[in-house]
Amino acid sequence: MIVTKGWLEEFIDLSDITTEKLCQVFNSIGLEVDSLKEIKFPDKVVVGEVLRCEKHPEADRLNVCQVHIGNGDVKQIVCGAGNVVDARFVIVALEGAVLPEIDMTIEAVKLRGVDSFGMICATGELGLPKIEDGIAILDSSIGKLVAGKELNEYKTLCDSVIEIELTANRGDCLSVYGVARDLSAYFNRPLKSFEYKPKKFMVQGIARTLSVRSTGTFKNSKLLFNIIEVGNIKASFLTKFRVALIGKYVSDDLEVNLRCVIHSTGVILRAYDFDRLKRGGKRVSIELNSNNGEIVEVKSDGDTISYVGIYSNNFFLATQKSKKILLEASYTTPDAILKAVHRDSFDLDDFYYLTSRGTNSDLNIGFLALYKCCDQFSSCLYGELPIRIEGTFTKKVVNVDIKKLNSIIGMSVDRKRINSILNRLGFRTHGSNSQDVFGAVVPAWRHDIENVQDVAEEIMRVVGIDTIPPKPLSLIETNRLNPTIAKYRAVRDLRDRAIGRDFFEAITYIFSDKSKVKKYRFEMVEDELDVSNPIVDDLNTLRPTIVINLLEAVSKNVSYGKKKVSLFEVGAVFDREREEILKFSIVESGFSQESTILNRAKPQKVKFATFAQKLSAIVGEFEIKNSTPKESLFHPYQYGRVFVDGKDIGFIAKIHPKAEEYFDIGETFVAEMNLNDILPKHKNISTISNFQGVYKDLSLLIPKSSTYSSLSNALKSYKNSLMKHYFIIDLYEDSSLGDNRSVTIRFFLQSDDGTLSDGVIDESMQGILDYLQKSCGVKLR
Amino acid sequence: LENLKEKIINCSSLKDLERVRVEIFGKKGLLSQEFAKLKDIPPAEKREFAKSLNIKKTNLLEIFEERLNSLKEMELQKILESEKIDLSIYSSLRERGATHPVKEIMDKIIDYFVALNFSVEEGPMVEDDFHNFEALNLPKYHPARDMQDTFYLKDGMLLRTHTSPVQIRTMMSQKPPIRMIAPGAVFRRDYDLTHTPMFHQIEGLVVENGDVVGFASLKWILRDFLRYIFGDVEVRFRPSFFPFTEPSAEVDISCIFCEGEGCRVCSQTGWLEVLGCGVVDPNVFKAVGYRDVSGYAFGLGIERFAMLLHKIPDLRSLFGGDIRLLEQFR
Repeated sequence: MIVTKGWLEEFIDLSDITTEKLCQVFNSIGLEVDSLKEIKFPDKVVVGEVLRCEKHPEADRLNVCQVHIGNGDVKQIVCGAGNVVDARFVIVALEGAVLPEIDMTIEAVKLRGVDSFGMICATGELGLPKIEDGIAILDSSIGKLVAGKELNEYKTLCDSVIEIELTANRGDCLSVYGVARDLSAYFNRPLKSFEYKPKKFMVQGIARTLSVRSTGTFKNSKLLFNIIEVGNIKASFLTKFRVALIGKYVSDDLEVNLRCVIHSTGVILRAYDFDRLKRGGKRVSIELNSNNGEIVEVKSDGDTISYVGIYSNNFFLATQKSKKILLEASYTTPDAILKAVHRDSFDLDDFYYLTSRGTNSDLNIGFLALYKCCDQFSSCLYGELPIRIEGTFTKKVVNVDIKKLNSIIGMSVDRKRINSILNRLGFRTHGSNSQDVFGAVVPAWRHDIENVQDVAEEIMRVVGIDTIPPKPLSLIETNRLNPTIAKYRAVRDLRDRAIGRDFFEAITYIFSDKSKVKKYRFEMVEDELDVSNPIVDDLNTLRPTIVINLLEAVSKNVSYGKKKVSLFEVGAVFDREREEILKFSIVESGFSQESTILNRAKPQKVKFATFAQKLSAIVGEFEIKNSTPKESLFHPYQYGRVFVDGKDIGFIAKIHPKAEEYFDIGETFVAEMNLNDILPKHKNISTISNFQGVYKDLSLLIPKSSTYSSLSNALKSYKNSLMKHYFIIDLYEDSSLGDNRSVTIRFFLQSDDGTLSDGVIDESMQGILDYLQKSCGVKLR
Repeated sequence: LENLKEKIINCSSLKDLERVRVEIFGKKGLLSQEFAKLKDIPPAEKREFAKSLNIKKTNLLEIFEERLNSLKEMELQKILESEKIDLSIYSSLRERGATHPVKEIMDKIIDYFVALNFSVEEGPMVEDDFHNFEALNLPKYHPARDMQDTFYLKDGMLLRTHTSPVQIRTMMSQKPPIRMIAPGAVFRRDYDLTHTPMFHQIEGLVVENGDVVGFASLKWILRDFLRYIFGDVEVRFRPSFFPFTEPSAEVDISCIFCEGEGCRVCSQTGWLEVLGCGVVDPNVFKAVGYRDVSGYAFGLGIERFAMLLHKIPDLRSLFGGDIRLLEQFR
C-alpha cells in the first residue's frame, strides 16, 4: 500500500508532523514502513509557459517553441514530443540543469540548425514514473502555475511517498482514507469532513433510463448506481501523477480518475458504457441475482456484467470516449467473497485483491470523490439521486471487559482512553464510563475484529507496545523434563561423538529424487501417499533413506576438490506406509584421514575396518551379520545388517562400484541405523567376580564359505557359566589351508566362586571346542 | 690426597666418575689402603690418624656427591635436549568434524528454554489440515493460507508449514499450565536465496489457567531470550498480524552488523526482524477445548538466526552438506 503525505492530508491534518515522525508512527501502530521516497526535482527545473509553437523548418518531428520562463524571459526551445502542440504549461530544464536520470547537463545547443536553450521534459526524464506519451503537461491541480517557478517549490509534487507493508487482516488500510483513520486514532485528532456537491446535475432523473431489480436473498452486499453524462473526461496532472506513483497509470483519463478514487477512498467503483448496455434500446435494466446469498451477480439483458467484488465483463466497461456512463459502487463482506471463491472457481479481476481483504462500505464517499475528481477539468452531468440496493448485514458487537483487556495487554489502560481510541477507529461504544464491561459496535470495514483480544490489539498498537512494562515469568512450577528432552540430549551426545570422530553434521532435505530412489531399488513411499506438488524434479518424493542425499553431498564435495568426505545426518525418512522414522546416517568417502604431518600427506583410504571402528566409537557396541542387499546401491559382498541386542537396526555397507562411478566419488562406505535403537539404554549390571579370570585362545578351521558370525551365533546358545565373553582376534588364510581359513577366538573364563584350576579351564575349553565341532563342523587348527 | 679432590672435580662424565669412585672409595681403593695403614700406626697416634682420615673421607664423599649430582643433571640435560622436537608441526591436525550451524543454534535455543523449565515437545512432519491450519484459526478460505506455499500429499495430508501444529497437539494431549517449545523441520514451496523448501523453526507456547499472562509477559521473555542469543541488542515490538494470535507483534533487534546505523543487511533501517509472537487467539483455545485460560506464543526461524549470527549469505548453502562451509565451524 502506497500513500503520500500530501495525499493523506486530504483526509487528516498532518501539517505539524514530519515525515520521519510519520514513518515512526506507522511502524509503531502496525503499518510497517517498507520504503520511503522523497520526491525532489533537480534545480533549474521550472514551470514554462509555451507561447508559440512552430514546426521545425528542417525536421517534421521537431517543434520550435517560444517558452516563457518567468519575468518576461522567453527562450527558444526545440522539442521532439508531439503533444507539445497541445501544451500550455510544461516542465522546462534550463541551461545548467543536471538531470541524473538521463545523465545529462542541459546546455544551449543547435538542433538541425536551430538554437535551443533548454529542454521541455517528460516525467520519466526527471526520475519520476512515466505519465503521458511525450512531455508532461501541467495544470493548476498542482498549485498556481507561475512561469519560472522551480518545480521544487510545489509542495503538492515534492511529496513523501511511503510504502506500507500491510498484514493480511488490515484490508481497511488498503486506501489512503483508511490509513488516515488509523492516524486519527494515534494522533487523537478528527478526520477532515468529506462533503462535495457536484457542479451540475442531469435534468432528468436516472430512473427514466435505468431500472434496477433484485432477486434472491440479498445479504452481505450493497450497491449504488448512478449515471454520468459525459461532455469530456479529463484527469488532472496531480491525479495522473499520484496514480503513476502507485504504479497504476494508464492512458485513459476516466480509468485514471477511477483508480485514483478507489485508492483514495477504498470504495470499489466500476464504470460501464451505458450505450453498450443499452444495445439500441432506450433503457438499461439491471438485474441483481443473489442465489446463494453470498455473491451478487449483476446482469443486464441476459448478460452477466459482473459478480460483485470478483469479476467484471470487460466488454461493457466504459472508457474516456464513452458518452454516457453507468457508475457502480459496490461492497461485499470479504468473508462472503472468500467463501464463494473457495467453493466455486470464478474468473477474478484486479479488485479481488482488495475485496477479499475488505473494502470501504461507505459507497457514497466513493461517488462524491469521483465527482470531485472529474469536475476539476471535465464536463460531466450526474444523476441527482443514485439508486441504492442494500442487503442485510449482521451488526457485530464485541463485549469489552476492561479487566480482561488489560490482562491481555498486561497494562492498565483507562476506559476513557479506550473509548476515545475506539471512536477514532470508527467503533461505536455503549455504556457509561464507570462500567467495567461495555459493548463496542464494530465498523463494517473492520471485519477482522471479533472478540476482546482483537480489541486489545487495537488499543495496544495505538497506546504503543513500547509503553507496556515487561512482566517476568511467575508461574506454578512443575517438572517439565519429559522423555523428549532426555532423547534430545542423548541425540546431542551422539552427534557430538560423531563430530569427535571427524564427521561433519549435514542437514539435507527430506525429499529425494524419485528416479534415483527407484534406480537403486529402495522401497519407497506408496505413490498415493507421496507429495502431490513437488517444488523441483530432484526433490519429488519423501525419502526412504538419507544415504542418497548424503552421496549427493559427497559427490558435490568431491567436485569441490575434497579428498576426504565424512558426513552424518540425524533426520527423518519415510517407509512404505509413510511412517516417519528417525535415522542416524553416516558416510565416509575417499580418505579416512586428512592429509597432515601424521601421515606425511599420504592418508589412508577408507576401509571397511576403519569405518566400522569409527562407527563403534560413535554408536557403541553392535554386531554385524553378513547379508545380501536388496538395493543395488550397495556392494553385494560388503553389506551387513547391524544388530544391537539381537535387533536388526540398520545396515553398514560399501557403495557399489557402479554407483560410485555414477556419483563420481571414490570408495565410499555408509551406514544407516534407527536412531531410537542406538540411544543409550538402561543397564543392569551383573555381579563382578573378585576372582582372577583367564584368557584362552582357540584357533579353528572353518570352510571359506562360512563366516565368523556362524560361530558367534552358535556360541550364543552355548551354556557355560564360566564363559564370560569372547571375541575374534585373528583371521588367516593361505594355500596350505585349502578351502578353509583359520579363525582365532579369544575366550575369557571366570568363576564367581573361586579361582579356576587348570583342570576346570581345560575342561571348559574342551567343552567349547566339542560344541563348536558338533554344531558348526569346525576343526581345531 | 689433595689431588684426589682434583681428580673427582675433573671427571667429565658419570663413567669417569664411577672409575674414580672405585679408585678412591672401592674395597681396594686409595682410602681403604690408607685405613689399612692404621694397624701399623702406634696406638698413641692411632686415634688422631683415624680421625683425620675420616674427615678427609667425609670431605671427599661430599665432593663426590656434589660432582655426581651435577654430572647426572648434565647427562639428563643432554638427553632432554636430544629429545627436542618441533611441536608446532602438530598444529591443524583437523581431527574433528563440526556441528551444523543450524543445529548449533537450535541447541543453544533449547538450552535457554529448558533452563526456564519449558518442556520440549515434538510432532509429525506429515500433518493434517486440522492441526496445521484449521485449529490455528486458518479456515479453508482464509487469505493467509496460501495454497501455493504448502506441500500436499496425494491422500490430502500435507507437510507441516510451521511448528505451530505441535502447539495444538500438545494442548490436546495435556492440561494447562503448559510451557513448551517445539523445535523442528518445516516445509514450504519456495526456493531462492532466502527460501528453501525445508527449514527449521522453534515454536514456544505458554498457557496458564485464568487471566494470568498477557502481552507484557511475552515482552519480558522475548527480550531476555534475544539478548541471550544476540548479546547486548535493543529489542523492538511492532504490531502485526498472525491468524493464531491476537494481539500479534513482530519483534526486531537493533542491527547487529551496523549497531543501528543502517546497512545493507537491515535495508538501512537499523533493525532486523527476528521473530513473531502474540497472545493466543481465543479461537485456538476453542479449537482445543480450553476454557478460562490465557496464553502467549512465539515462533522463529532458526536458519534466519544462523544466517545473522554467522553471516551466512545463501540459505541454500546450509542444506548440501558442503564441507567448505561446515569445516569453518570446526
